[in-house]
Amino acid sequence: MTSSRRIFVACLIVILAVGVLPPPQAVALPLPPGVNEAVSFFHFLGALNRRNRVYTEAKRTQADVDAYYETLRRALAADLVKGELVTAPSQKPVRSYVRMTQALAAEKRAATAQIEAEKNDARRNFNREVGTNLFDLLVASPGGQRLVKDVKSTIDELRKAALLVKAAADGASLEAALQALADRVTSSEQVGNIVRGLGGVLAQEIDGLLGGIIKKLTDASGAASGELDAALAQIGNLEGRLDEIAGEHDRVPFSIAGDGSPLSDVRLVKEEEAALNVAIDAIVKYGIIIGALSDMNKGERSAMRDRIRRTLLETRLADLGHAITLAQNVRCEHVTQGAYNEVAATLGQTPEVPREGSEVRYLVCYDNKTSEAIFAALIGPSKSDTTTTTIESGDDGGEEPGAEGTGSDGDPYAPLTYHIDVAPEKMAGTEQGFGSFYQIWIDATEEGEMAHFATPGLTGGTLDISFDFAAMTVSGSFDLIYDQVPKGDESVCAGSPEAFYGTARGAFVDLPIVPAPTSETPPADWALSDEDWYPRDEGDWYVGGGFPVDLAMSGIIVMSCATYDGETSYAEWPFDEAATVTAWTDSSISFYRNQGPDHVTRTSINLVVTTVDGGDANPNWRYSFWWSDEPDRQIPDPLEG
Amino acid sequence: MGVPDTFAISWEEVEGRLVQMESWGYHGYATRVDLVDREIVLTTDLDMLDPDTLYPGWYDPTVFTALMPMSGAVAVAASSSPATFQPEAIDLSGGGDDFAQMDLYAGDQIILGFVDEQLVYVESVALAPREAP
Repeated sequence: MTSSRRIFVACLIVILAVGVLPPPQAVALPLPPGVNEAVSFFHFLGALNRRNRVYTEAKRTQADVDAYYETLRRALAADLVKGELVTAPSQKPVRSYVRMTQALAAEKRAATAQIEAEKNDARRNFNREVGTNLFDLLVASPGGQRLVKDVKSTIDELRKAALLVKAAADGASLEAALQALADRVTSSEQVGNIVRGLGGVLAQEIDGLLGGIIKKLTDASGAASGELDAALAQIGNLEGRLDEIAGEHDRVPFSIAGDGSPLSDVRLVKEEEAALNVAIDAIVKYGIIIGALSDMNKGERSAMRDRIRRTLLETRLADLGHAITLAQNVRCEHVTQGAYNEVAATLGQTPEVPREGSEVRYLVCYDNKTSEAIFAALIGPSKSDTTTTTIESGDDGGEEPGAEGTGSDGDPYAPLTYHIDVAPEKMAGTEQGFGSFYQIWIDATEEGEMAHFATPGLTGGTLDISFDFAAMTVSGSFDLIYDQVPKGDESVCAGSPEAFYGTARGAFVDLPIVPAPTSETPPADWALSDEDWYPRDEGDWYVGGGFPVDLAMSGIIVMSCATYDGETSYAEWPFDEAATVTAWTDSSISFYRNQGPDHVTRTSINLVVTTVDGGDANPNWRYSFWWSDEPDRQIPDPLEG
Repeated sequence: MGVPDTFAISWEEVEGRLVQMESWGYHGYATRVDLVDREIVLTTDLDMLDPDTLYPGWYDPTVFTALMPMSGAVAVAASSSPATFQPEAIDLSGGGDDFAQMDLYAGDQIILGFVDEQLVYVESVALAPREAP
């Protein structure tokens, strides 16, 4: 297949499939235990081509598995870096990439366990017995045989009818013979539909032959004997071909799951700096896993992510190829301050210093292959005047497709306003960050069964923010839309929102911008839990305050489903809920002073809105979003009065 | 394009949720499509198989869903088969406790795998003539 044809076919598949495929399916907990081990075992048996080699070349097995997954992983990574686009704009390549690599890693671990188990004689014999039984059942293929038999039977009837017409061409019974032929042609066309179930090249071949015969017979209905002879000859050819197919073939199952053909043409969705984001996400994820980020709220994690991003850029790891390697091979550890200082110095960084009295942790990441340290970070409040990171050139939005910001390059006290279209496709082209989650728990049944679902996709909406640096207040409003298109088919089962439409609306007015509180204890009006509080960096601005948010959701959730005799029944629960809940802003303007060769001061704005714990209320809502930007203008400096 | 000639779907647990991994084979076009959670993530080339290969084009991968009840999945496989062939259980008792929660069925060119009688794996397989040694 030529490259252009492959691309065409791939595009065609994507275009067609995107139109018919149901969206991702959220599966409710609890999951049955041992899923991955079971799937691995089934894969192991299902991959029959590879399986055959297992028994004959046992030593190659692990190498085969390693090579297979490594090839897949490399191909994925390469295409992510290349950013070649061949899919719908709504798809998120990074998310898909991360999920796929994680799932592949889990699959590979389980496959490796299966290989290890094979070293045990009893398990090997068991696997072999199961594989043999599976093989015998699969090669019987009663369905395929039935289709071939049906085609043969119809072809035989066609041949008889054609012979009847040919013999009666000069006699009185011609009309009846032609009617018999017409009946057979009709049944042949029906078989033509059935035979497509055979799939692949074979179905195309038989379908073509059958179509040719029918055309000749139809043309011959006027008793043109030449056409009848040609049709009879073609019938003979097709019968011979069917005899070959139905003959004594020694067949072997071919498993697509076990196909290890070279991944010569892999394409993913394009996204700006996709590989860099993967690298950052990987580091943040490792931070969470080892607990280094577990005590932080989302705003701080977001700020941490920004810091990591700047550091990666500064240390030239923004090179996509390097970054993607980092994402796959990075290993991060929670280390002592001394070890962190040492690694930071090795990397040419000035170690960050924790803010006095604050609780911090230290993260160091290594390249798995070379064991060289490649990243070091202080996690938690630091003395901002000791940070070594530089902030990339920001832009407060005039040319960004998702955001429009206005401000002043000269007067730090001029107002700064944003009008932001938060639709994912609009935000993707900006340097601003936006994220949100939306959750609800509802006591949905008389038996007290709780329905829960979370984070349907944000599809659009606006966020307006206005900073008044003369009055030192900030006001804003948001109107956000979460929409999941209903499918109305059997592809959705237990725990999935069949259809969902949600909104989040709120406004805050003249919240005071104050010097960041550095106290270990939260302010008196702090509405979130004490555990969520942490002292802010001295010299930053802070905005805290409560305001109402209107939340609304409507849709249908599928509580359970069952399929018997091909009929699927559903227990669905429609919902239409709305509530006004209290939200809290936990926002800041951070200063990075005297950065870079020009010793300029840069700022980073982080706006976080989180609903206050709904307690035992039914429904129990959770909603939060965050937004961030690095405005390319001066902001009044709290240290300058 | 219609349903694929062959496919394999597995649901694998990643951080407490199931991720749906699937591969669809359009062998007539020598193309394989891989999906994660029903999103297409890559397409690859497939080697062409022998022209006499039998494909189970009668199965539709989208009707198989995560943790589908065993009775339902087996019934779907049987009703989809042109011969209405009822998948048969493969005896896994010889595997000991490791396999106590698993069930494996083989049907008309289809494999179904279950944990706690819930579907976690399904694969339709082509039957290719064995190559001469």
